Amino acid sequence: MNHATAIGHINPKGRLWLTQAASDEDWRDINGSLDGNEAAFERLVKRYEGLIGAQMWRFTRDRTQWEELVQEAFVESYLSLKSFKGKAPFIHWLRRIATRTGYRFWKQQAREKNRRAKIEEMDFQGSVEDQTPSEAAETLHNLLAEMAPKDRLVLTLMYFDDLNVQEIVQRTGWTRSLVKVRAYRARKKMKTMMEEAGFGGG
Amino acid sequence: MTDALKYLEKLAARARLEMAPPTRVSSRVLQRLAQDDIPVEQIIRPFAMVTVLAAIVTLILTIQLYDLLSDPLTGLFLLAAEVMP
Repeated sequence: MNHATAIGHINPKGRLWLTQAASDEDWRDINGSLDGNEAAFERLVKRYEGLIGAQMWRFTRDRTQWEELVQEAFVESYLSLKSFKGKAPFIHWLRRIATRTGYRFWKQQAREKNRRAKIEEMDFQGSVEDQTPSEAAETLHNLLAEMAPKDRLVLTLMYFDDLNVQEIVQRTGWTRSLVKVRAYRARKKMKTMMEEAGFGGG
Repeated sequence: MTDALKYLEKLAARARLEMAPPTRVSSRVLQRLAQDDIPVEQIIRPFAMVTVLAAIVTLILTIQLYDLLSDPLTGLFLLAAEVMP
């Protein structure tokens, strides 16, 4: 079977059913969703809401906003479902949409000038090991919130999600060189910000 | 690596251990999708109205231009403009 015929087949409704990369159950539910089967899309949401929920938790720690963002990510994925070509696993595609949703939220926040605690008010005296993971996450989130959205996104993906350059490229759609330049500049800005705020290390 | 960036690395490693809160959004997502059919029409309607208005204005101007060009005096004025120095 050559590559072209391995892509998929025409279903009884005359639509191409793609059958690559994603798991069988994902494909079944993607195709079902595209055919208007609500239960199929519900299954997709339930399968990935944990992962996407965890991802969107990096974008806001406000519970109400967070739930809105998770919903927004899935709504956008449904509206874009026709564009999923199956070249990569479904979760990769879904994560990219979720990242875009979160990034748009930060840009909107930046326009509305909603700011979190200023860096000068943060306490860097204690050791990181003395902080619970939630406290550390809160501190990191607040630090990153001081940055412009594009810098914040690259550092969030690097630090919170521990992604390498190639993974950040896949998640954002930015070019490799753009990711490297943004990461370098963002780290430099963060370092300067922390030092100006009197950071003493931990 | 500077102290600040080392701190950031350690903080991030600790932060990654956090478990995000559980979430169940499937029913709300489906509700929003059911509602989202209406907003699309609401977005398109203003553009449709602007298009209709533009078409009406274009039609009025076209009729006026046609009247002007089909006026017998218009031909006379154009001829006069050609022959006069």
